[in-house]
Amino acid sequence: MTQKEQVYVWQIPIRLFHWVNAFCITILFITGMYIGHPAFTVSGEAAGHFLMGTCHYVHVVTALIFTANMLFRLYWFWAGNDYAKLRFWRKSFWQDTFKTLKYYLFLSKKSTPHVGHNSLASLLYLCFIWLAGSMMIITGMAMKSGSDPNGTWFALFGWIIPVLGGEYNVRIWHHLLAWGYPLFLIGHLYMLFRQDILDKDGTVSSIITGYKFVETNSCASPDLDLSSETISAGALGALGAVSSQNNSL
Amino acid sequence: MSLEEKESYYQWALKKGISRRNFLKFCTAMGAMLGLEASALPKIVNAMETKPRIPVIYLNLQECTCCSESFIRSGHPLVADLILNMISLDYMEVLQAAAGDQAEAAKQKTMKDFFGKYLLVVEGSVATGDGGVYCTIGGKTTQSVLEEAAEGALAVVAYGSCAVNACVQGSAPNPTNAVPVKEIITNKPVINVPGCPPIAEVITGTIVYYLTFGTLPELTNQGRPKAFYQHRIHDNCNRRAFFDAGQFVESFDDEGAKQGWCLYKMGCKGPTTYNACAITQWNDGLSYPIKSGHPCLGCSEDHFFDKGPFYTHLADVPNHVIGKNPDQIGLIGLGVAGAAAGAHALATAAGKAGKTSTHNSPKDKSGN
Repeated sequence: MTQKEQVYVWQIPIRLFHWVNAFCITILFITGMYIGHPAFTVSGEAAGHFLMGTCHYVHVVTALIFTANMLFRLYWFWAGNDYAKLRFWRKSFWQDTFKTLKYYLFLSKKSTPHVGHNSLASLLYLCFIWLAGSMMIITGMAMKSGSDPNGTWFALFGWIIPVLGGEYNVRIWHHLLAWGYPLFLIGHLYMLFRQDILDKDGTVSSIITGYKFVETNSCASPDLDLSSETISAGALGALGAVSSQNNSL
Repeated sequence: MSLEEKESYYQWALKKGISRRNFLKFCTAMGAMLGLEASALPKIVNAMETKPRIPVIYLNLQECTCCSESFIRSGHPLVADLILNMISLDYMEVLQAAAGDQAEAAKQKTMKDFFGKYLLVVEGSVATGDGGVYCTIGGKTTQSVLEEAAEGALAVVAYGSCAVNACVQGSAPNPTNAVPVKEIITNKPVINVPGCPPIAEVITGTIVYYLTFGTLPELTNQGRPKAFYQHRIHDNCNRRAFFDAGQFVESFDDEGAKQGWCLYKMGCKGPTTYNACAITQWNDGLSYPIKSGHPCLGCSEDHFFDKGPFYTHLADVPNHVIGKNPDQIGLIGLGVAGAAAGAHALATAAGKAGKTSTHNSPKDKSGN
């Protein structure tokens, strides 16, 4: 029988980031959709209501939390463990991306075991969370800061307005990119449940507990294969440490 | 006649029978409009008393003359009079009495006599397609007319959306290849005064500012005079309270429209349009589109004509090429992603079932 080892993958700050991010995106998407399409119209005197104003307020406050959270994660790329890193400039990253892509396209039957993210997943995070997320922050802050054209926020983010050809385009981009999040969510949920079901490695619960379960006999060699330099020493060190602790498993 | 021999604005005003009191009122109004503090007023008065009137050449290129119409219909009588007369309009096809060779001669004379000292105001875009044949004046293409007049100008004011972003004729597919002034004139300061039409007072304000401080007014990051174009219409809108409350007009004949609710859902571009409509307003502060019940079309924003349809809140992306708005694109994307995930899941299940049936023993399945 295969023996599974418990490996500590997601540190507490990573898990915290994940859930704060998920919470913020949910709030931002809902309030943002209302701002884009105010579906409910209230009746009576205007003085008695502040529906759009409240939505806008919640949207902006959540956006600031979202931005702070993203900045914190940026720091954790540097401070975190090996699974927290995204080294897309390495050749092995792209080799693994194509290998994983082939696996997902059913072109190769062999799944390469990954303890942290596979490179394809990392690449999607780079696009959907980091590139699109940065654009969301810049365009959003630019629209927010337009009400104070001589303020600091406008000085920091106002440049995007002429770059995109006017604030209307800024709005359109903000709205279009927002749809990237539910799009991402479909892929994200599908892939992680698939992974969990096929490899029974605890992917789903790992974002709460921090632990994944890796086959001891098979994991060492392929992981070494792929990570000749990357996932490497730290990961294996952690693996070793954990496996010695959890020998009873 | 050199520029120094020309009379000052104050001398001209006295000659026209304008009292000192009204002259000072004008200076105060200009200072307020430019957002200057009270201490700037003596400087404005001094400049208007001593500096000679700047000669202005006003070109009408590829345009519909709505800017000129706005220009001559400035609401405030004094301002209107001063706009027409104070700037020593030496050439303007719409208003000048002279025509043909005489008019061209007057323009040539101003360009020669006041080389480097006159202000060039341009209304309309430059038609560059097919050698510029789509718009010619006196047998010359608009590009050569503009280049000739801009050579000796101290600055160029691109007056109106045509001159700023080629406006309607520059919208897709832009058959005459209309381009804005800033793409032709690159070696001179170009002040963008967008709007279809723009507010007339911006021109007067710009001239007064130049006379007083000897520099061009501060511009926004889109090259427009900051005093007029730094704020969004939305942020000063008289219907803003209804926006914040969440009360929106759903159709032009509903109860909300009668109550004067927010026109956001009728396609109002006020939230993304930088202009002074909500502050200075039109026709001597009488009204502006939103106040009178029509959504803002965003006419002072680049390529506003392509950001349609006008009466829906969210435009199609990108401008009539895809013909879908961001929400439609997003929902289609979601549908495709959902279907792809479902298909992939089925394929995975099928693959697994196949594998199980070929290697049916549990020993094989465990691999090692």
